[in-house]
Amino acid sequence: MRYLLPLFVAVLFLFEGTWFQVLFPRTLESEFIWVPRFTLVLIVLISIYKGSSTGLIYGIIVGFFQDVVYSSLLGIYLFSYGLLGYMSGVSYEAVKNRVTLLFVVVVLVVSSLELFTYGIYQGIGYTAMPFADFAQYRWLPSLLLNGVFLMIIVFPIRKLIRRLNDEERLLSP
Amino acid sequence: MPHFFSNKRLILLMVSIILLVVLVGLTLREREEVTLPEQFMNDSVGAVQSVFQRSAHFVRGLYDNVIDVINVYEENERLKTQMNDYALITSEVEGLRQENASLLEMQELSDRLGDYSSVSALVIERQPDQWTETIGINRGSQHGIESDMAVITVDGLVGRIQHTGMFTSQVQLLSDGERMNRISAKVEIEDENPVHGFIEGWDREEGALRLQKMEAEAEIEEGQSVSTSGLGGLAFPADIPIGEIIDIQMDEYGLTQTALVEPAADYYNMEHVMVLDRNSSALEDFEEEDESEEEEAVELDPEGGTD
Repeated sequence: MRYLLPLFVAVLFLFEGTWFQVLFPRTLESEFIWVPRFTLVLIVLISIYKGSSTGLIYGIIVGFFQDVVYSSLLGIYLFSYGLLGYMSGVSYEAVKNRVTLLFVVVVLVVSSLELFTYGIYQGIGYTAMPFADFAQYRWLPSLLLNGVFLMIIVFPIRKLIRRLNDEERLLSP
Repeated sequence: MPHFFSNKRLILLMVSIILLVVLVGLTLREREEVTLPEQFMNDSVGAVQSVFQRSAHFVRGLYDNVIDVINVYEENERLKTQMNDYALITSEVEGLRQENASLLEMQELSDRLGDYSSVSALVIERQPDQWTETIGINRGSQHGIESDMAVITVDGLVGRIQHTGMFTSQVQLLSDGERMNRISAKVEIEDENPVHGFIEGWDREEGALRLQKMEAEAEIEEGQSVSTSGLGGLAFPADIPIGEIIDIQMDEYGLTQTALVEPAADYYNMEHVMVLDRNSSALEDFEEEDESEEEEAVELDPEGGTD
């Protein structure tokens, strides 16, 4: 049971680059860019329910893999996943029980990641996308996609993490 | 209000921001070779990715089959009309090939820009964040692949090898926005010398590549086809199709022309690609060793390069 969460994280990480890209490919005609940040959503949940230091560790490891495997530009996701994984854990206690608040946290996290990567790639000259285009074609669709994903996983994951926490409490004296 | 950062953590944050800037700065420039630990990570993740990717393609295949069955009548009609031309074209190609071979023999030319050997590879991943347009393939330096080799699908050129691991490599697509992502191309014009230019960058609104730095006097038109020229620093063979011109613009000073090129290959829907190497011995060696294995690394005979 203890390995279930890391396994989930690993599967989601691979899912973003393989299954998602094959089954929902972008087409030349559509301008919308749907960016899956499923792993980050899961890390936010882990950070909220298991504490921010756990979130930080998950964030750093996944971010590092994201950097190395999908590009050769190191540092961007290592930094942002680590920071966001940590930050999402230091929120109000009430977030744990209210899905609306959880939703707000995920929206904030995904938005800050999108804005951060936009800033970086704009800064180093990879993209010349105007901000209005970025917001319309990339930011909003990505928020929608990841919001829907949160709605799908939030209840099962919450149940799972609570069970894991209970088990840990039973095992440790 | 829970406090976000204590003093110690604030310092830690500052240090990591500095680290971020340093890391991005160090890895930003074109790296011919990534470090060994990175190669190792890429290779091991790549092994799992290819399992994921194969199953994904299997599922997609089922879906595509249903669509195919629905369209089978229309497609059959279309193919029948195309078949009529087929016999004519085959005999013509055969004639041209012989003529070309004898002409080359007369000229005593052995190496041509159009010559290449190839190795086929499975696409195992795609960058999900879509800021950079890269894909991963399951062939690496152990299979004779080096950086800057051309990568094609059956339809045309898709990109070049950016860096290699032992068993995987990363391909930078033509649509990637990096400044150094530049490929020497030419426009074929009937009865005249081809016009040369560079494929540079991607026009997001049109969904087309930009072919830049062509002479202002060159008579190019919409509908003309664009292919690689085989010139320039990259080890690209000549006459690999890139796409078709859909729009032409003069630059602001009237010195050069820019054309928008609709790509021949579909960059978003690739299962297999081929990596080409011009006059390579490395890939040929690999083919000989590998003949018994399942992967067929075919040596392609290019159909009569003209220059």
